[in-house]
Amino acid sequence: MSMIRIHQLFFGYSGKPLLFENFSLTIPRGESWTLIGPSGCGKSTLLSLMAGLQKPRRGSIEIEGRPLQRPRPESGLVFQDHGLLPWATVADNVALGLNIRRYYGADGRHAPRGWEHDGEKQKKTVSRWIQRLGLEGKEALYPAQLSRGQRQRAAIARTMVMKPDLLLMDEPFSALDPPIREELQGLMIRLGRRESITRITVTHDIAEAVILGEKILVARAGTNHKPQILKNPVALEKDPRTHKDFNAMCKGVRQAMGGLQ
Amino acid sequence: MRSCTKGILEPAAGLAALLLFWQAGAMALDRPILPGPVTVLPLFFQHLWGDLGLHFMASAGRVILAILIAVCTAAPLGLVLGQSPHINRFFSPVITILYPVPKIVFLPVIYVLMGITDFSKIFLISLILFFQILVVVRDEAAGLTPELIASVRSLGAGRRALFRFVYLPATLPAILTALRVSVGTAVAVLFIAEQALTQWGLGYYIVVETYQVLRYPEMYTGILAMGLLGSLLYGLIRIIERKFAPHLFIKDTG
Repeated sequence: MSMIRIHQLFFGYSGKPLLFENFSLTIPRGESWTLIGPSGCGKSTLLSLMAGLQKPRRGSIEIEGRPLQRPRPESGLVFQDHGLLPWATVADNVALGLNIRRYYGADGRHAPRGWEHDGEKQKKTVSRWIQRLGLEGKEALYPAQLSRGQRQRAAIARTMVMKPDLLLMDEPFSALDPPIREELQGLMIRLGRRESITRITVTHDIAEAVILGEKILVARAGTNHKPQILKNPVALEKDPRTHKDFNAMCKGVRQAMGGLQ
Repeated sequence: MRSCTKGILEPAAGLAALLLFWQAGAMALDRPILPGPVTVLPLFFQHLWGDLGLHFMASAGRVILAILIAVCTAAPLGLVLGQSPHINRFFSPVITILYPVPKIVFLPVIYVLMGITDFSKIFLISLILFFQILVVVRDEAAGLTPELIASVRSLGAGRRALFRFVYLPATLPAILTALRVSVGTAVAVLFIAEQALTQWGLGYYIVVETYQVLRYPEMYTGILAMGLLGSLLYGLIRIIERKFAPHLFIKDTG
């Protein structure tokens, strides 16, 4: 069963050449993909199309068999810039998605009909995810009082409380120092496997693409027609970083990108 | 306990010093134009429950109404400008030119166009506040990154929820700060506007009812009332700020 089905997609920004022309792609459920390519190749654009933040000019995007019209709450989005509300505490930021759902009520669009707000349950969910991401004790702090890594953890917790079946991440760890980046990469792999979430990560870092993506989609500068997909069994290993094929895989990605990286 | 009394003690001491200084100055000068607080304060508390109170209410009503009008017009417009660079580029030169002009210069224009009514006075004050709020709300809304908006939208927020969870909390502190710093100017302009053709208001009371008929001690009760009006508004806005924008009062450690 496919999670995402992109069918004959056309997209480009006005006044610029098309980024995608007759582009089709299917991503099976539960897989972890990375999108890599030079800047301006459209990898982030593809992600925001899959998030429903932008609409295709032509063609269709289906998620879980349903055409995508607007951002769906079950798709979690994580950006390089954490996107936390500066005026809200960690606890309030993590609860934001649930509070938005509560604000609309069970209207069948923002929350399933028959859904009911349960304050106790919400509190438990929020504090569970705060704990899982190692932010316990920071609930009452504001984003400005956190380190970069902690902010990104809070952003991930905020996404995870919504029980996503799909995680779309745009350079989520690029702004972090290497040790924290590695730690969060490991965390996302564990989370994704345990909850069997389909994960798509945009990155410009070849090592990261190999660590996180069992399939690596290499986008090209200019117009993309047919997706160029590398199978990467290394990412399914327990520790991809130290695996014997890791360097060979990185080399393969570099070649696919045109060798000039 | 100690910090509690400390918080009250120091301002009280400051106030006492001010009164002492005033009394000493009055005694040293020894002329009717500067009566001391010993004369003025009893009069003030006595008159506050009479006519002075009514003048105070008239002025306060005008300022508060002007604040409401300014907030209701400038805040939405500032949001639109801040979120749409195209529209902002169009209006930017207009705002840049009008923003620093002291709005009091429009007083004659407003009087001619709108008549010397209560509304024209209120309009003038709201005009001052309008530009202050417009500029800060615009800049605040422009500072909301596309990533922030996108990530909140990805959590299921539509237009309504974006307003409730992003735009309102993002701009409210800025609106309150703009109000707090411009409320002094607003009261000053009110003083000038109230000198012409009205029977009520502190400006009228201070200039027409007391100063021009040489009732100096009463004039000072009017000045005190004006100070009270300004500081009450300032304090009120400060309280609302603390309640709705607590993150402004923390120290940035990140």
